[in-house]
This record gives sequence, structure tokens and C-alpha cells, in this order.
Amino acid sequence: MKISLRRKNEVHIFDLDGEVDFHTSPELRAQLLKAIEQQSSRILINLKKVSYIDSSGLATFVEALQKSKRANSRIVLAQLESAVRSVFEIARLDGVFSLADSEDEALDMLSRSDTR
Amino acid sequence: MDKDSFSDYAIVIKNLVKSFSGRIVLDGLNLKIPVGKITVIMGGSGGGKSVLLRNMIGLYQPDQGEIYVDGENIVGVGEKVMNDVRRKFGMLFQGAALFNSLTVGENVALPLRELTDLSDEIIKIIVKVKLELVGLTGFEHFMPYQISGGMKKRVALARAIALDPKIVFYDEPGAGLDPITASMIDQLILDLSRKLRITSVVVSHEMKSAFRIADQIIMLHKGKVLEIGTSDQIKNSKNPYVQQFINGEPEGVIPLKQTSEAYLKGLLET
Repeated sequence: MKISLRRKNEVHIFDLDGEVDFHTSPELRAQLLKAIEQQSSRILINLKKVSYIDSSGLATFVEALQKSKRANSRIVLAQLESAVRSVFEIARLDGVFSLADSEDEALDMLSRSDTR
Repeated sequence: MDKDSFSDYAIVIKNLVKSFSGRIVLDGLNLKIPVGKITVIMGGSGGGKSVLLRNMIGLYQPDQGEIYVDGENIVGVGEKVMNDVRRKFGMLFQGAALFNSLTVGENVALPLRELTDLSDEIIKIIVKVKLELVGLTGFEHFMPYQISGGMKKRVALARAIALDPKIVFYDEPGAGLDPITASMIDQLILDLSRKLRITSVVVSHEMKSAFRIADQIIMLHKGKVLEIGTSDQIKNSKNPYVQQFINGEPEGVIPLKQTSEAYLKGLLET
């Protein structure tokens, strides 16, 4: 999996490309935790090019969500493929995360989250 | 075999022969297990179900034949390759086979700790998700002796799917459970198959359960495939062996007493 980082205004955007699995999720975890520690208050993870996530990928997002709440930052996941979305649904976590259908929608959700 | 067939089938078995001390248990078996579906392997005791299962997971080496798992022939491969192949499997043993000295959570975490480099925090989250999938949220800290037989089976199932296997083998999943708990386990097998698209291979002799969950039923008899079909096809089979098996009748084309000659010969000639 390839991880690229870009910024749009105040938002840290992670573009992921490939599969988030046991092999690749530790690197993603390190980068996400770093962003949260550096007090990035708004994080957008674009999953458009992710075809598969396994349990470790799901757990990595859950941990990032827990830590971001503690750090008063906000995470939105955008453009999930249906196979990826179903992993969240099966674990009944689709309601816990903020999921956006497009990057614009995700940016909009993050811009309205100043109070959080 | 062309590539297309492999992408449709998780396991393909060709002409499998296995004997023990000259007694043939699997006698030129051919079958295909479709990806993402539930296949139930049925047959009477001694019909070769367990031996077939053990061949599929690489515990036995066949005398002849080929076993393709995910497109790779596992017959004759070394232990190292077999270990890689086994990582694609989850296995639910007949007894739940939990470690009694470990908590429920530690049991589920075990394959993750042994086989991955994931951090403790991530493993803890995965354990919670897997326990939720089998309806055991909140039981992480229980010891195996503190929970029922049905719950132990569910913990074992959570452990079997800890590493997100593509294929899960179930050896008599309803054995030793009351009918309600057994049907709960059936529902879990269905859920995992439908939701996670896991290929499920269930060895069982319980017809009710097989009809409830199977996309495909394979009936074994005397080490050969007697019939393959959907639940309805098997129910309506014209084969007298299949009908005798379904109806659980002691007498029929499968004789209750089939060794009388050998028995007499053995007795009288000693």
C-alpha cells in the first residue's frame, strides 16, 4: 500500500492506495498516530484506491478514532468501496465513523466540526 | 486446469487416494469447493469425512492425487510452504480446543500474537471486533471454565477467524451441543459466509444442520463421492443410499450388518 500526504487548508489528507492488511497497517498506524500527536485537528483519509481492508486495518482506524477524540481532533473517511464499507458494517462500526461519499463532502463535514 | 476454474473454486481435489495399512479410506475422490460458499461434507462414520478434512489441511499426505488450495497443489510441499498455506485457513475443531489457562480474549488474540507483528493496542481492538461478531462482547476476561460449551465454540470460532482467513473448516460444529445452541452455531457459519464471503467447509453428519446452511452438499460413501448437490437436490435424490442416510433408517441398501462373512471367517479360522 502507498500512503501519500497532502494538505488542503487546515486538513491533513491521507491518500491510500492498495490493500490495508496485516503487512501494511502498522505503517499507516504510525503515520496516523503521528498526525494526531502533532495535533492535526482535521484528518481526512481517502480510501478511493483501497480495494481491501482486513481486521488490522479496521482496528487501525478504530484506534485513530479513539485517539483523535481524546486529542479533540476529527477524522473523516472518504470514498469507501463497497467491499471496504461492508467490513465496517459487519463489525457494526459504520455508524461510529464519519463516512463521506466524496472528498468535497468530507471536507465539508470537517469544516463544520470546529466546535468538536 | 485453466485459470478460470481456480478463481471460482477455493479447493479442487483430483483423484485423491488415501489408505491406512492397506485399507482404502479415500478411493479416487474428485470434488470442488466453490469460493465464498458453504459446502457440507456428509457421510456415515468411517465414510472418509475426517480423513478428507485432514488431507485438505495438510495433516495427512495422500497416497495419490492432487489437492489445490487457492490454485496451489499442496500435495508434497514442504512444511514451510504448508505453513503459508495454512495461514489462509481457519479451523474450528470438534472440541473447542481453547487454552484453559488463558482468558477468552487471550485465546482469540493468540494467532495474532504468534503470527503477526501487530501492536497490543491493535490486537485488543481486533479481539473485541471478533468477539462481537460471535455475539460475545464483554466476555474477554472470562476463563474458559466459566463459560458454557456453546460459548466455548463461539470463542473458538472467533479465534479461527482472527487472521481473516479465506477458508474456514468446521469439524462437526454441532457435536455435543443442544439443538438450540447448535442452530446458533449454524447461524454464525451462515453470517460469516454471507457477510465476509468466507469459504466454509463443514464436515458433519447432521442432516438438519446441513440442509439449513449448505450451498452445496457432498455425500461420501466408502471413500467416494456418492452425490453432489444443493440441499433440495440431495433431499430429492433418487439414490437409495442418500435416502437411507437422510431418513436415518437402520436397514436399507447400506446393510447394518455387513461383515458377517468376514466375522465368521475370522472366528472359525482362528
